[in-house]
Amino acid sequence: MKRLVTSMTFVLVAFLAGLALAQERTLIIAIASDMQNLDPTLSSGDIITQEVLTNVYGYLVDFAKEEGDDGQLIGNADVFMGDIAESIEPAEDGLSVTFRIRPGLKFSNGDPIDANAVKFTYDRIFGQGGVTAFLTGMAAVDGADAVRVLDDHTVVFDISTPNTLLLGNMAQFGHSILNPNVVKPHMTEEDPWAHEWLQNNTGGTESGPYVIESWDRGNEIVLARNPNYYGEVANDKVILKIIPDPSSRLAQLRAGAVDIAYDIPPKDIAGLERDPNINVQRFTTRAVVYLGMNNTVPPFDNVKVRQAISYAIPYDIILDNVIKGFGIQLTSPIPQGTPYHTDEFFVYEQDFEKARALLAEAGFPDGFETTFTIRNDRAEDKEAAVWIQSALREIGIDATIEEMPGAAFTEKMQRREHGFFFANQWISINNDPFYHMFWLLKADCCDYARYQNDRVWSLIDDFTLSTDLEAREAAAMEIQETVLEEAPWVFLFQPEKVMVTRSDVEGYVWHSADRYTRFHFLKRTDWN
Amino acid sequence: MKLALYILKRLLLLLPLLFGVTLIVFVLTRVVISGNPIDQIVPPMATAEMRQQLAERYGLTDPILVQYGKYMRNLLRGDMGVSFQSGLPVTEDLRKFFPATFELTTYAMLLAILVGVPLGILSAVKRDTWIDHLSRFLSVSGVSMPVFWFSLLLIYFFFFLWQLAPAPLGRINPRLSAPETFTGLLTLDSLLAGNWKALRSSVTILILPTLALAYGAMAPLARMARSGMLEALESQYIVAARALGLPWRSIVFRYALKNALLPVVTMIAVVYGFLLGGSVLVENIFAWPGLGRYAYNAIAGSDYTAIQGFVLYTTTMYVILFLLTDLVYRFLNPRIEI
Repeated sequence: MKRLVTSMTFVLVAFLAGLALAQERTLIIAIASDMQNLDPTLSSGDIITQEVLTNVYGYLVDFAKEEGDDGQLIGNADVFMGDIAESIEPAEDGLSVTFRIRPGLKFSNGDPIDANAVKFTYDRIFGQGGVTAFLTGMAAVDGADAVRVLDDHTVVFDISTPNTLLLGNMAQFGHSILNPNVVKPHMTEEDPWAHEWLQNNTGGTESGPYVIESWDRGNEIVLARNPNYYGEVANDKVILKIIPDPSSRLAQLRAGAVDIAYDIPPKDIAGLERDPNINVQRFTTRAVVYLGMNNTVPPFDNVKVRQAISYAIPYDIILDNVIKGFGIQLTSPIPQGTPYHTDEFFVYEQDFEKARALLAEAGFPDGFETTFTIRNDRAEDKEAAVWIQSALREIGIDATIEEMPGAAFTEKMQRREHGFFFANQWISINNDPFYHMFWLLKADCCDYARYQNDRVWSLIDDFTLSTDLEAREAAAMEIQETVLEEAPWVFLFQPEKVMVTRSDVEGYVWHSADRYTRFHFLKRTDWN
Repeated sequence: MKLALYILKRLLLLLPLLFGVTLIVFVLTRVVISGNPIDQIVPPMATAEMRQQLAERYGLTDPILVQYGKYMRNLLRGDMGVSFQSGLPVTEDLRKFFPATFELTTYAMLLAILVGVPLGILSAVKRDTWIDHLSRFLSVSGVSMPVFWFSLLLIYFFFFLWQLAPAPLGRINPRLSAPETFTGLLTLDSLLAGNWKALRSSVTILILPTLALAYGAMAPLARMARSGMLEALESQYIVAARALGLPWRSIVFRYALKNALLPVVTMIAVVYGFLLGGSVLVENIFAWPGLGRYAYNAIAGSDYTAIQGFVLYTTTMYVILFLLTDLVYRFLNPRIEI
C-alpha cells in the first residue's frame, strides 16, 4: 500500500514537473471588448486597440522609466527617453531635434529599422494627413520635408517655432515606425497609405516588444514576443481574452483562470482588496470626467444657469457612492497631475440656496425642463445621472434622462449637438496644460460643450507654442480662473486606474501619460 | 419528384423574402437608427474632413438609393460588404461566428429535446403524479428564471465553488491550440483530427453554457408535448382504440404520440431558430464568440453592413428550419398534403 502511494506520488510529481516545463510563460488578461482599427495613424479611440498598438510598435520617443516611492517602476509622463532612437538631441536654438537610431535594430521580419524606415513612416504620416500628422504639425514640424535623413542612423526634425510640445506629441503609437518593405506593397491607387491593410494587420512591420500571433475576432488576441525586439520581454505570450460580462471576468480572476482582469466595476473592487490572492493597485489618472453644458444652446448659454447647476450637483455622493472612492474631485479644466494645475478657483459644492438664487437671477425662478443625455452602456454614468436628476429637481430643474446607444451618443457628441450630457473620459497623452486645453476648450473636434471665450482662446493660441515658461504659467492661471467662473462644464472627477491582478503577477509599470499597460514588464512570481 | 419540386419552390420563395428584408433593414439602419459607423473607427481627435473622407471611401455619402443599389449588386455576387468594426468581409465574419453559435445551440437543443419531450409526454400520461409536478416545476422555472442569472449560478457553483467545470473562457482552453479547422465545430474538428486534449477541453467547456441554454429551451417543449399528448389521449380515435382493447403501451406510443408530436415539432423549429440567432447574455457570460454578440456589437456600433448580413442570415435560417418542419410534418402525418 505504502509503495503504491509512493509510486503514485512520484508519477504525480513527474507529471506536474512535465507540465511546468511544457508551459509557456503565458499571461491571460480578461478584457471587455475587441480591438478595432489598427492603423496607427488613424486608429479607433478605444483603449484595447491603442494598448495593443503601444505593445506592438516602437517609436522614436518613449517615457522615461523611474523608480516610484515604493521602489516600483513608473513611466514618467514628463520625462522622455529614446526607444527606437538611442539619443534625442534638441538643438540649442530649439529649431531642430536630432534623433540617432539605435544601431542593429530589426523589425519582426528581420528587416533593418533605420533612417529610411523612419523617413518612410513620417512621409506616410504627413501624406495621409491623419491625427498624427496634425499632432506633429501642432508641434511646428511643418510637413514631410521637415523630417530629414542625415545618414543611415540619424534623422533631424526641423521645427519652425520652438516649443515644448514635440516630444510629448511623439511619445505615442501614432508615431509607430513602420517597415517600408512590408507596407509599401499594400499601397495602391485607391488606398495610397495602405490604411486597409494596416487596420487589420501588423505582420512583419512590428517594431515593439510583441507581434500579433493571432486575432480571432470577438474571441481573443494573442501577442507573442517579438524575436527581434532589442529589449527585455518578461513573458512569452499574452492572451487578451474577450469576456464581456464583468461578473464573469471577476469570477475567473478570483478562481485563477485569468491573471489580470480589466474593467472591474468599482462596487466589486472593494471586496477584492480583502482577497489575499488578488492584488489591487490604484493610480489617480489625469482623465477628466465632466458634465457638458452646451454653451451655445439656451438655457445653458446663460452663465448663471451653468453656475446654478454647478452648485446643485452632489459631488460627494458621486465620489463616494457611484465611483466608491476610486477617484478624486476634478477641480479645474487642467487635471491634477498636469503642470500649472490649481484648485484655487474651484468654489463649487452642493448649495441649493445659492443655486436657486443664481437660477432666479438667470431668469428661471421656477426652473425649467431639460434633457440630460448619457450613454446606455455604462452603469456608473446611469447611477450618477439619477443622483444628478434628483438634485436638480431640488432647484426646480426637471431633467429627463435620455439614454443613447454608444454609437449614436458619440455621433451626436462629435457633432457637438448634445445640450446637457455626461462627457466621456478624456485623457491628454501629452501632459501639457495648453495641449490639453486646446483640445477640450477650443478644438472643433473636441470642445464638446462649445465653450467660447475670445480671451481664453487667444491665450491658448499664444502660449501653446511658447518656451516662456513663466508667461505660460500665468496664462494657465488666468484661463483656469475664467473657465471655473464661467463653468462650461460641471467638474466631476478624475477616476483612478485600478489594476486588478492575481497576487503572483508582478512588474506592472504605471504610465500616467496614457494609462496603457506595457505587457513586456509583466511576469508571474513562479516563473524563473 | 413532387417533393423536390416543392422544396425548390419554397427555396425560390426565399428570394423575394430576402429582397424585402434587405430593403427594410437598409432603411432601418440608415434612417431610423442614429449613429455613424465612422465615429467608431476613428479617434475622437479626427477632424470633420477626415471623417468625411472615410465616409466617401465607404460610400456612405451617396444618396441612399444609390447605396442600396450598390449593396444589392454586390450581394448578388455573394459580397455582403466589409464590417466596419472587424475590418473583415461580413461573409467571413458570419462564417466564423456561425459555427460557435451552431455548435452551442445544437447541443443545447438536443439536450432540451431529449429531456423536455419525454418529460412532457410522461407528465401527460401520468397526469397529476409527482412526475407531472416535477415537469411543471422545471418548465415554469425554466421560462421564468433569467438566463444570465442561471448562467452565473452555474459558474459560481460548478466552476468557482466546486471546480467541476473548466473556466468559462470561450470554446476551448486558450492555453491549448485549437484543432485544425474542418467544420468549425470544435468538438467535431478535434475528433476528426484525433486531438484528444482539444476534444476533452471543448466538450467539458461546452457543458455549462449548454445547460444554461437548454434549461430555458426545454420548458416550452415540455409544455407543448404535455398538452399535445393530453389532447391526443382524449380524442375519439384513442377512445376507440381503448374500447377495442389495444394494449395501453401501443395506444400511447403508436397512435397518440405521432399526433401529439406535431405541435412539438413546430415549437422545436421556433425555439431552435430563435437560439440560432445567438444568445447575447449567455455568450457574454461564457465568453462565447457567437453571433448574438456579433449582432449586438454591430447594433451598438451602427455597423450597417454587419447588421444587414446578420439579418439576412437569420431570415435564411428561419426559412430553412420551417421548410424542414413542414417536411417532418408530412412524415408524421401522411394526410398532410404539401
